[in-house]
Amino acid sequence: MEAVQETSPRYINAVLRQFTTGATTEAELPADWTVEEATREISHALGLPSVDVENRPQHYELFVQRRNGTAEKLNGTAIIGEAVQDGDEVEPMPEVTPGAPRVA
Amino acid sequence: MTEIDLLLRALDSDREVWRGPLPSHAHERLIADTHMAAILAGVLPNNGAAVRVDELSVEAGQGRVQLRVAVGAGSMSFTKTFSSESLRDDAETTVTRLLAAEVLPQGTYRFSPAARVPASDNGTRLSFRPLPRRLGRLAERSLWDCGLTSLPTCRHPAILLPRRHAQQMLEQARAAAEVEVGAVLVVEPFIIQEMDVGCRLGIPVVDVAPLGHGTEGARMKLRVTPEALAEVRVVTERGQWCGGMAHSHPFGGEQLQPHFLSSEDKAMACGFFWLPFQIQLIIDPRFAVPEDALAAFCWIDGALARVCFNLIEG
Repeated sequence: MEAVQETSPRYINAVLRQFTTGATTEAELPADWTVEEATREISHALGLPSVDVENRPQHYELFVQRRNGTAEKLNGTAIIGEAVQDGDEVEPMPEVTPGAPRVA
Repeated sequence: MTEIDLLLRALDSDREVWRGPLPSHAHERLIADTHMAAILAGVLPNNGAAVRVDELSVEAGQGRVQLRVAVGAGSMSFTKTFSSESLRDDAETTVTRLLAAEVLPQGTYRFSPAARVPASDNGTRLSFRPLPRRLGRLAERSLWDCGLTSLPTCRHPAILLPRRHAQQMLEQARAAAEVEVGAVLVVEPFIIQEMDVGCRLGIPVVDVAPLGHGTEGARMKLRVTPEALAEVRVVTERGQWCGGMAHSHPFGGEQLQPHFLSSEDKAMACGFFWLPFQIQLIIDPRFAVPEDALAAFCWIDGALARVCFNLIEG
């Protein structure tokens, strides 16, 4: 009989930054999430809007500030476990479209 | 803490047509407003520490609905009461979104807040500590030192806009008068030392970061990318904050006065720039001087309102 080793899910201990307030908190990000999936979950957790005024999904990009001081935008298809390290600070940045209603 | 629903009724029939949760940033805006009021009143310390929420409730009676918010630190607590008008901008944003989604037909609706039982599940799969609610420690400054020649008596925060920044934004808007242009404002909010003013919150704009414009193909609409926002430099160690947005409304005419906030502008302010010292500036590029071209909007008791601003030299 073959033994199957169960592995517990891996997490990245990251710092989340809220765009409006700059407040930070700690979170465990599942390492197997994609950046796109993590961005959706983080922005929801931080109380950021999920849809825009036209009821389309609100667009965010996830930025990471590393402990060594470097910063970059993460690719949506990247895997959290490969793109983010313990102690990194991540922040969803919104796309905003002020102005008058669109003219059809 | 009570959570709040937004309830929409058709104006003609008074029939309830929609009910749904207010977005959490609406709650947070009222909490932050109350926190700021407590600091300005000297009830809670101006030490940058986080506050706890002691109460957030809906009170109905005598034909009107009010919201009560209490925040505290240590043994102290401060309560502020908001009229339902504090949710006017959220209601407009919600109706616009429901119209876009064709959940509601075109019509006229009135809104009111209603208490709801907090959900046991916060709807997230993420394990995280709650965000601390803090406004940072505010410096104390004299308005005389800021270059004002008389003290404002208005009950809204004193917005101090250096003329060179105002002129810079106006020139940017007038150089591309057919498309929207914008800038991110950097502010250094402070407590006004003088006691004989209408509001003791000062909001000086200390920097203006121009943004790209007209980036949706041939459309005139401003689209501010996450990359553009990420590049704005805010020196938090100096008490600086991202202070909101300035953008132009290049569609003025004889019939249309551009000095207003559109539903898009309100959604943006409600969603991303809702702290008590975050403002919105609208630029009408038809005018050549900032006094005529700019309009300022800030949060008063939880709602956006057009207010006066002070152009300062230097």
